[in-house]
Amino acid sequence: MDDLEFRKNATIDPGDQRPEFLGKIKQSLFNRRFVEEQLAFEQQLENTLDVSPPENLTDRLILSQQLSQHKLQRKQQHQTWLFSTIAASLVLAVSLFFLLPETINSSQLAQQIITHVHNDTHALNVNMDVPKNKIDTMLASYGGKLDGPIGKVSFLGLCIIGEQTGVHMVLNTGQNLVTVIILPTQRIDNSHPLNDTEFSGLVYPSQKGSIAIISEHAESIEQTRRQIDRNLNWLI
Amino acid sequence: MFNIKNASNGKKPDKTPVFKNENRQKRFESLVKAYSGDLYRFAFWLCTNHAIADDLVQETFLRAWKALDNLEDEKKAKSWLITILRRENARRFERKSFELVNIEETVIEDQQNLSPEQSLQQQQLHRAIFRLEVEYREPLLLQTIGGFKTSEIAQMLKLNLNTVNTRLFRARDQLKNSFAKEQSFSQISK
Repeated sequence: MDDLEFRKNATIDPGDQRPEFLGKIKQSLFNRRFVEEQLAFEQQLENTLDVSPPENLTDRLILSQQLSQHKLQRKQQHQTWLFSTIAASLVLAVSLFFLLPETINSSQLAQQIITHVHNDTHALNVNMDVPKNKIDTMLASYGGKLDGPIGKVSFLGLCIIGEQTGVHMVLNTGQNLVTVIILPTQRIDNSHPLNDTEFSGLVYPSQKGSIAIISEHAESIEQTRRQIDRNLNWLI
Repeated sequence: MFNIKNASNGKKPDKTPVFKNENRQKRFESLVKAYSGDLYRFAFWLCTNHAIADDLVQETFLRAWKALDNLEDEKKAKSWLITILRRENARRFERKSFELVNIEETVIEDQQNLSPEQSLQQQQLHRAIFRLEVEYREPLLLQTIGGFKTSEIAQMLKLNLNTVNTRLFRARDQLKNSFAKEQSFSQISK
């Protein structure tokens, strides 16, 4: 190690422990004093650089990390909640799409109902004297409920109109037989008359789906409609 | 004969962190306890401002927490943290034009048990360090505060070893000159 290298080394790293450096120190008093000066300066430098960190720095750093972690967890929980909410909304939307009454053309429905009544003459020819609890049970399966009397029911059954099921009832008013077909899953926008050579009546939008009232005697239609509208309610 | 202290063994961590069999939180806390002091000192002398140093250390440890799983070798924790801090400091430059610190106004703590003369000398040296260009100051801080070897400093700063040695030499040379000027000025003033 030459003198120049020694001085450079003593300046950069006066604490160097390599044998060649230590050997060079021993070579002369000048070298020894030079290294002593460097070490004294190094000590002074270290003392100056040794500023104190704030007293509570460690606690604040840990607290800051814990708050950050807490915020992250809250954010993740919120994202999970948001995802669940969106998923639930989608399920609800899809369910509603399938469960809500299908809107169909009222004249087409009217024609299907007339055809059904003509084909199901059996309903007009029996007297089952249907008890109220059976009517309630059948209506309940669609979410319907009778809150008052609708008169004597001589027939009760499920029917298929188009591709949907409905409740087929025949009411005996004492003078006439009136067919009432409740179609909770078939929604129409407007009322439509049901008229042919034998029957008259109408199909009209209800709170849920639609209702058809048909009779051979037109005078019984309006009265039955009022009775049905007054007493039939929907829970869902 | 000499009270020789190897520069590479300069400042040691207050405690040796024990990582094995500890959960992530405990691992983080031991890092904080072991290195926050040196990181703060490094940050302060790098940016020459206590408030900014505090922010830098906070940001550094938050990033360290997020990336803790990347730290595989516990022996490299200190250099890993210093690298994060240096990146954070560089981001500070990118984010905004930060305020320049007036060296004369920077509060310099008086160390206890110092005579008035020693205290004055320390303040003079303090100002001399502040005046050093960052390219000289940074390797000096890594060596003196960080306790890193010159080869490690070269790796951290992505410089070759000769450049690091040159910068360390010039840093001390400039400090001594600047310090000597201050001292001669204060003697003339007397």
